[in-house]
Amino acid sequence: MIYQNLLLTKISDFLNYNQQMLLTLIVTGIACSILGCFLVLNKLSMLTDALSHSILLGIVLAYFVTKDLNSPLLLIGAGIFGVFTVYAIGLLSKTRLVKNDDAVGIIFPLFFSLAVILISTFARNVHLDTDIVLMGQVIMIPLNNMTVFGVELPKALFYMLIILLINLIFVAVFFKELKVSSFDPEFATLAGFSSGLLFYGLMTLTSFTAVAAFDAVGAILVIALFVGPAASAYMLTKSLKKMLLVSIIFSILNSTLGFYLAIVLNVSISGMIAVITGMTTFMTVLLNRQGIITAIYLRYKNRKEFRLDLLIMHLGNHEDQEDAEFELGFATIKDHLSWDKETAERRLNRLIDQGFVQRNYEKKIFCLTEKGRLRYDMIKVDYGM
Amino acid sequence: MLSVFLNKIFSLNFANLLNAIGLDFEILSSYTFIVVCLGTMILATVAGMVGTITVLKGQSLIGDAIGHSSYPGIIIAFMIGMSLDSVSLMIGAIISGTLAFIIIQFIDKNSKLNLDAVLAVILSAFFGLGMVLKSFIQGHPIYGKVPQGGLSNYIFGQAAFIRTIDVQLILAVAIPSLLILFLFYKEFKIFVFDEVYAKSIGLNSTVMYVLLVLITMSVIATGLKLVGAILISSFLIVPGITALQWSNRFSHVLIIAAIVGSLSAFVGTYISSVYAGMSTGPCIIVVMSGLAFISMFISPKGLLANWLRRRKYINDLSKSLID
Repeated sequence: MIYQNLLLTKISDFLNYNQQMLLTLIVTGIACSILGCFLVLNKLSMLTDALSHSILLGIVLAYFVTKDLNSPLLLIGAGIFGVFTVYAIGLLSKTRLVKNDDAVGIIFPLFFSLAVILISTFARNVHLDTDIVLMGQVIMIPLNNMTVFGVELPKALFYMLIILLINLIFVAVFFKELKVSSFDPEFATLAGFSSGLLFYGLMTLTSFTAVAAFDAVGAILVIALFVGPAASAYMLTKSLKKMLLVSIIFSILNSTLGFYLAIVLNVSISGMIAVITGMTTFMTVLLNRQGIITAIYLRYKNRKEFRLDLLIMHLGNHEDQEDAEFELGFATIKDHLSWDKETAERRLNRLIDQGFVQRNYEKKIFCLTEKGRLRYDMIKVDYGM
Repeated sequence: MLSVFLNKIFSLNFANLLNAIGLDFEILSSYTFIVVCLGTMILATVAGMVGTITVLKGQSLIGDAIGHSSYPGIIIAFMIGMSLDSVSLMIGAIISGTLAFIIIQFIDKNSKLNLDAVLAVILSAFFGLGMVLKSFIQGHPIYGKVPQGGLSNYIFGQAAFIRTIDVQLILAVAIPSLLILFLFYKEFKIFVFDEVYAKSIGLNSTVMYVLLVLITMSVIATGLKLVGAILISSFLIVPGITALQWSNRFSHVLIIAAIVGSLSAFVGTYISSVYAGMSTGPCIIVVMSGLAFISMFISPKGLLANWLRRRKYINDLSKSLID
């Protein structure tokens, strides 16, 4: 007995409860966001919504077979059911009787309703807590432990690590295929590999990832973990590899921030991470290279730079002319630019600080420095003069 | 004297008739059933008609996102008013749903993200906020004292607990919504099928959009108590999808959607009243979806008709080849 205990490594020796929870959340987030990138690229984001809801029916049906809430078969059954959901949606939209969005919208409420009915009629002894279904039980993660190869660690962490590993292998092995079929499905078909097969491979993994994550963090956060970081990364990057990397960074950031905020405020952890994910995505929308705030800032900056360019042009044009005294005089320059005194002074001072302009005290005018001359020629070239 | 007698005979016969076709008169005439049934039927009728427009516009998943997104509004309304008053909670739901809609439209316009990614993110963020606020007030020293058991009902809905005031509220939303739909029927029709043409004849499509969103939002908000934030979207889209299997004419589609909605509401409410423990919302949705799938099979445009047509074509073809 003592011998066994000596060999047993407990994760709780290294990490406290909070750290265990956070680690599990981060691993879950990474596993989700890797697949999420391909879902976002393939316009399949709302399928995660459908999946995360219909999984409940899968779990209920699997429970009727296994009669054991802790059986891993439950997760496998639910995962298979998730794939079936995707298949059913695909089949329905393939009949062309309904559009794809409609197919999603009709299938998942039906499955979710069936699950609620089945639970409330046949499994009344199983307590269905709405909060647990939707928000999971992050708090409980460190309390459900298991021992694998002499290491005792939270069950959820172990499952998510395995899922993460599988997802990583899948993406690494089929990287080229996934890339081609995400950006050019027609070429993928021409190139001779079935994007249908790849699609169902992706969906199978998505389904199993969703099931495992659902168990730990609930239905709503699953959606956020899949789509949020990937959507942010999609706006910021131009290559698939970078997108994957950035989405992982976003995922870790969201989970960590959300987790600690939730702990400090003593509120739902899953909910908080979902909120933070939404916020970072929204910030990315505003601040990315094509974002609206960036556009406003650039416009402002351009206008500022244009005014300085104008000033340099003015100085360059009149420096060697006879009217330089009036045009560029210390006191009179503002009239020729029709700026008020402070504005003109501020802009001239800025150019003096930057070393483009100097004061010529002999003639009492502003004139260009050597550097300013170069800039003047450059501006002329830029504007095609 | 006579009228009482007649009444008795009539009700007896009526009861017998109902019993004969397998319906329980006891349940059908109970006050609770009538209230719940009226509520769900009116709601499903309006939701079906309004939702048809969203389906035709190809935006069926927006309803789902807005349904989820209205949940935090309910909690915030509760925190401000410190009561479970249906009207104030509904206003909260409308505000938060509208905010979500505006953000969705904003992101959709100002980024290269696809609409479905935007929907997924906003849906989970808003619903997550609702859960955060709910967990916040649960242990809170001030809010914790006010009974808040009813708040969970807005997630899955609890039609069995609705009261006369809720039915009145539904009516107060339903009548103006239907009125708007009838008054602007032509405008909606053009708006749905040809937005460019609508613009060219001077129809302000922004106004139409605002009108549509306003109606949808209030229908969702009233429906939350009955069916809940998660399932309300199917009230909007499933009747429309079913109706589209049967007709291509806008007016017919609207009428069929209304009929499908109210019929499913009646049957679903009845089933949930007969079998204890079944929630009303999910029952109605199962009936609704059942009707939708049946329609997809047997309607003139459906799978069966298609199959028959194809078989006939092949038969004719082979015959003509043999000849």
